[in-house]
Amino acid sequence: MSDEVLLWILAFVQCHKSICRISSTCRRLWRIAQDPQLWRHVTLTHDNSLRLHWDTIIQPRLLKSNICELNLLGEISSPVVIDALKLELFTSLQVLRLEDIQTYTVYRLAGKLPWLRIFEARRIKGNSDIWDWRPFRNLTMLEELLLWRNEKPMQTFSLSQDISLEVPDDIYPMGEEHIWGGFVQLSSPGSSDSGSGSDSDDNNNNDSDGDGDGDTHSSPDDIMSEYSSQSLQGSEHSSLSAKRSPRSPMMPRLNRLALINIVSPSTHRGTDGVMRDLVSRVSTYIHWNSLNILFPIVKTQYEKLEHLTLVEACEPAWREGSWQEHAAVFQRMGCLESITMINPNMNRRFLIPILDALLSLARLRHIRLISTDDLETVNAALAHILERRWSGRLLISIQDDFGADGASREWRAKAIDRVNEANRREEQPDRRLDFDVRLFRTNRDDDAGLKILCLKAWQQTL
Amino acid sequence: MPVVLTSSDSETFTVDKEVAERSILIKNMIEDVGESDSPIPLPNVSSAVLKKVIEFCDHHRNDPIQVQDETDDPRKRSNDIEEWDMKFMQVDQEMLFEIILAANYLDIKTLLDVGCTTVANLIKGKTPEEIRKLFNIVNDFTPEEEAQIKKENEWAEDR
Repeated sequence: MSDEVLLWILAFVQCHKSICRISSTCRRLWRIAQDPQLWRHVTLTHDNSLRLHWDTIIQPRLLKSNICELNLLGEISSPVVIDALKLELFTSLQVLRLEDIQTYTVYRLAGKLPWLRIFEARRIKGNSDIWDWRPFRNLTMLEELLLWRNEKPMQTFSLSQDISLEVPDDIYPMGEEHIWGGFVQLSSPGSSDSGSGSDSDDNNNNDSDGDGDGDTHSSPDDIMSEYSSQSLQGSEHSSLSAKRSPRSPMMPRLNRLALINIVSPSTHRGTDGVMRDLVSRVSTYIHWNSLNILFPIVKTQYEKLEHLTLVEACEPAWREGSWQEHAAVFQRMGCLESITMINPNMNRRFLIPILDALLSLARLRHIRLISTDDLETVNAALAHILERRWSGRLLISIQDDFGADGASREWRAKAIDRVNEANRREEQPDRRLDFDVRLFRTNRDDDAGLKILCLKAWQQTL
Repeated sequence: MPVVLTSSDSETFTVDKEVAERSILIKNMIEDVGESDSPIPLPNVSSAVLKKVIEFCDHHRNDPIQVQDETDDPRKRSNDIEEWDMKFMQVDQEMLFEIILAANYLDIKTLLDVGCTTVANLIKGKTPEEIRKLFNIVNDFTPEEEAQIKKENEWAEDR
């Protein structure tokens, strides 16, 4: 067998501990295992052994191979630990995936690795209502971003008082942004001191929307008046923002975005604006508990969105809007090709108009409905889609009940019969529904199960 | 339009063109030579292996063709193998490596990937000694080299 084929086999091994063990078997395999190609995309477990050998063996090897992708499994307990790995030395690194890390570690890495193209932070600890986007301004090359916080944000947050959060000065070690000094502040609506960093960021962000794609965005004036109408009456907002020179948009190349539990109250204007801007620019967006970004008052531009995943979309704030307002949000997604709704357990008065809006989108070819607990909603959705004679691909995935009462299996059989019958009646073959039902098993813990589904949606492996 | 293939041991196989063209090598040959009744010789593939390869290509005849890309990274694909492929790969080790070599020679990317993934899954989690035993590998390190490599790979041994 040629070295080339052996190298190809080793590339499939993926686990670098295993590659090391293979290299210990004989001279030829040792030689092949040294190939830098094998050490460009690396998955390592952050454990004692890694920490012990990092400086002497692992890091030099990764530097030599010009590492391109690093997946670090296992808990990284504090920003100090990540500092010890000196990831900023990996200037060729394009993809970084981490898990079980602190919020500040994420901020810190965003500040240190401006050359990243893909950044995934899974199971971030902390449930603060504050998410600080400022370090992310540093990531000018970033194309894909997944931020997944473990906990739902605190919903007890009160806007009647200022909340400030002190973090050590060295959290943001690089770039002009170090002037922030790691201080985040939320101001109460109407407070004369509303010119916090977040607010100004937000405005600068929108100010610079004009380059290249200004036609799809609101003008700065619109944004300003929108803020004024929301909560900024009487503030010195405009004069403060005028003092700052416009900057390029945050993460100008961002194309795919997943936000899980990255939330702030909708009245937190700073974060609100950043998220709105990001969502208006990406083609893929996965959303769960991350601000009620769909609520019409948010006025996000959805024209560029091609793939949307919503998890438990029916947040409390939805109930504040009318069905017309909700449907209007979906109607504006002119580029949408696929939508995935995980647990779309919404009231019929929302479901039907939203479906109608979706089914009228010219480019939409793929609807995925995934439910862990509710057959009624998917049933209503299927009935409506058949009634509308929509002809794209509909995939329904439901939780397998392990045959306990057979309800899922029974429903699947009935649903397939129902679609077959409708397709038989359909005279135009190109108007037939391409339909499938899959049964799946998730983690017993609903929350964890839904997060895995989010991740699969992100990895396009649903 | 059927295509006739001849194995290294002179057995002939008649297959549909679309099945044969899962192999980029055969596809290019057909394109170069043009439509012809004469059999295509495959001197590097035995009949037993060719039979398996044809079975695979026939099963995957309607799959979209993966274009070989120099920058393609196997890590981007999952290590999950479809159930049918997994059953297909339940063969003895000699045949498994023969299939991989044939897939490499015939340039059938999906088969090469499934084969390599199968071997990779066999290797994972095993100690060097277990790997040697599995693939009949002779340890040709000098004791000094072995000690050096052991030190280098110490981080991977700790559990």
